[in-house]
Amino acid sequence: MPVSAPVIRVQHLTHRFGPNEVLHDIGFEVGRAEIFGFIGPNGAGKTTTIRAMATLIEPSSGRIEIDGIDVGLEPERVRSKIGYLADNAGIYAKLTVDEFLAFFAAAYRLEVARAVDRALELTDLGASRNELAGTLSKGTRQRLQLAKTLLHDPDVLVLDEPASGLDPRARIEMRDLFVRLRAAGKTVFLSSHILTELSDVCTSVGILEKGQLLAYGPIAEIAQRLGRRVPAPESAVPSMLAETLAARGRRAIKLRTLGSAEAARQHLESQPDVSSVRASGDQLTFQLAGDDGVLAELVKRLVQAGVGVVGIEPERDELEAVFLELTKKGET
Amino acid sequence: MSFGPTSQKLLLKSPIFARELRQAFRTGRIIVLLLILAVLVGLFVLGIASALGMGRASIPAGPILFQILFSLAYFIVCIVGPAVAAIDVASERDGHTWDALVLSGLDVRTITRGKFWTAITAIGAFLLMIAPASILCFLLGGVGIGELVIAFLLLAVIAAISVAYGLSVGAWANGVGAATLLTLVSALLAAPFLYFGVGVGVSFLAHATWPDVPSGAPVWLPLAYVRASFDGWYLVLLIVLPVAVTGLALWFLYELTVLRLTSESDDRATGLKRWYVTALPVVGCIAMVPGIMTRGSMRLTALLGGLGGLFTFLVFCAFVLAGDALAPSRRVEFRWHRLQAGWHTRVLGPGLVQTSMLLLVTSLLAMGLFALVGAGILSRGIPSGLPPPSAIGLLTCGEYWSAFLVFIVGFLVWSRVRSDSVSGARILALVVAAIALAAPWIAFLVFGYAGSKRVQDALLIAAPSPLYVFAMLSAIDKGEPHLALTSGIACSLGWISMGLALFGLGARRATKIVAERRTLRASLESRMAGETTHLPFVDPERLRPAGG
Repeated sequence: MPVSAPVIRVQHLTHRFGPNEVLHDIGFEVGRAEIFGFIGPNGAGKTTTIRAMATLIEPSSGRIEIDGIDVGLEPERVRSKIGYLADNAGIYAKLTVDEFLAFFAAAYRLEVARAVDRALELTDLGASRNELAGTLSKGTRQRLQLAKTLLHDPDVLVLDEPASGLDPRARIEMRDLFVRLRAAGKTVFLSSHILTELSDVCTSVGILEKGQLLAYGPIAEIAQRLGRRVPAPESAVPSMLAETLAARGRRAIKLRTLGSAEAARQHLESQPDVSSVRASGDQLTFQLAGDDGVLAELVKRLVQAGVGVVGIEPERDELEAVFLELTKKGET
Repeated sequence: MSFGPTSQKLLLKSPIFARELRQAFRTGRIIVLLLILAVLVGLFVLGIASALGMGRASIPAGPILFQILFSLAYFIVCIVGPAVAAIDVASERDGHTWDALVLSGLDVRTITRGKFWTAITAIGAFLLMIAPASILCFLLGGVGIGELVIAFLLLAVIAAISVAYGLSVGAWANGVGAATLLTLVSALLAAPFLYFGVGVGVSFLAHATWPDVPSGAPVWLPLAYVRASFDGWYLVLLIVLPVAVTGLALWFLYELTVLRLTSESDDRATGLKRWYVTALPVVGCIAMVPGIMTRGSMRLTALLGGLGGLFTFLVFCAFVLAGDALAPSRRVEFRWHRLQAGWHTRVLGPGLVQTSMLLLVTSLLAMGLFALVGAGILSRGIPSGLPPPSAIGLLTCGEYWSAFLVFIVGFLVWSRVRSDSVSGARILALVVAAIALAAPWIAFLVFGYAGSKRVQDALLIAAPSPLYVFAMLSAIDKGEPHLALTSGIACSLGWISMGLALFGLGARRATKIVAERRTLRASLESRMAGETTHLPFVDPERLRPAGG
């Protein structure tokens, strides 16, 4: 949640391609040193939003501010503040890594050697500096793009699917880099399809579907609104809706048992607060309506029924659940 | 390997050019292609030279070889140059590197210039490669070194225009494929036309002006520079005129490329309008040259040709400037406000109505001035009294064509405001102009001529066509101008009335649309100003029970 003035502020953003409205009145804010994940299915309007933020398209209406600068009015100033990495960004295949970065450093009117060395160090690309960009692996190429994005030391990074096509190792490295950048005070705005990846690294998210923003904020707080017995503030959610929310409050729990989980499944299915029980080997997952007290009571009953409970934890990927919950409602 | 110290300097001065050079040397594709073409040209020239017996033949081999070599080079430059430049620009979009370029802080003008120098360097390398073969022309006699050097300079100028044209196409095309196809097809169509028109065709006029310049030879300009006697006309026709035409063409293509590479919110008008305001007096003066040069009965024809040229240029400008935005964007207004822009900046800035008004006023002034000066030239030496029929004819032409220009501008404003796209408005205006030009003559052929005993009377059917001025000229010449002049002037007044009415309607609608947009924007701004954001936010719609 932005405490001071937001670094990114989007208000009533609407965009049309011909007669098709691809973004409908979306608005959100991202605070300084946040990692904001932008989620949505293909065609939801993520890239259009990101391109508008990066000054590459002029939205049909609405306003975007980066660090207080209106993107529509002063794109040149915004460009010096942001580092943008496109989903399918190209490279000059016949330039070496060093030359590629030197070109962009010169374009940014930076001190070329220093800027290149800094970017290479930050992205750990020093060993590949003399290799032709066209011969690099997908992961290294993506790091090169990121190095180019970081050349001018931007305050805000706008990254469209930065981890797409990367192997697990490269993804972990990239995630670590985002965390380091955040620690250095940078604001990272990134979109991704891989929800687990975002939930590990993002401080807040925005969920977009069919050009409409369904939710945004810290993942836990969105989840709380959607699934826990905590009434929402009157100002944000009407009371009737809050009641509905509380009535449906449930969360996903993962349970590991000693031996087969079948007995536990049968026992859980008879419990009133439990639904959607799925067992697989020694593990089962279920939806629980209630707080930690209800959960403790449930475990006690399981143990009393002779089920060996080895471990119990909330389902790890809350973001996935939130995403499915929100987008499922859109379908209905 | 990084950029060396020399390359570093170039990199800082012109990053695009330095990068493109490095890539071109590493890829080698374009260099190999041009080398192959140069070798083929060289072999061809050698073959011709040996066929002509290396100077032992009875016909002069040097001039023939000169014509063949530079004609071949002309076609290669005209066809390959635009394609190289267009691919260079379009490949940034195809290769998904364009966004990164724009975001790197390089402005579109710098990128355009960098691309221009890259493509011109490639074509320059080709010209250097064929230079050794050109020495044969000198060795075989009949062609001097000066003529060879000037021929290469001429090729360089043609290359510059070709490359600038290619860049404008590349900036417009969706991808490399479209850019290549468009440039190749247009170059294949235009190159022979210019070769036979400006080359072979104008060589006869050049021969008439300077008898030492051969007639019928396509490559005549370099010979004219060396063989023509140096006087005022040399200065005007061989230095001022080519420099002016080349400069204006390059400037126009540059502004067109920049326009096509910038976004709709940017100021796309000022560059083109500056070009127009500069080009108009220059073109007016150039159009006057044949009239001043010619003597006797041909003078009216030359002045009519000049007037027609000026009219065509103005119609072209009307179509180009019709692409202007309805009003300056928020971004442009913000910049004007910050820079405390004066009235001249605003007049030259975006805004369809003011652009069309500027065009209308300046073009009518130019047409009027041309016709008046032309009439003055035609009346020179005539005793005081009524102006000669030729002067009346020129003034009549000026009046009719100016009236039709008012209609074209008015129709373009109206159709631009009504149409969804600029192209749609332009096509519609083009169709209407073509109908106005041809339909009265078709009607004359179908109905008028057959039904009338006097052709002159039947010609009245064709009076709405701007080409009717020739019937009016003929009637003036025959001393029976009344009917033709009356009908011609009546029709021209009709064109003016329609043009002004359409202009007024278009301007009114444009003003209304702009006012509506500004009201919407202001309302949104006021909403946004008082807003605070709730965090976290969840769309209330998503919280309702399914089906509820």
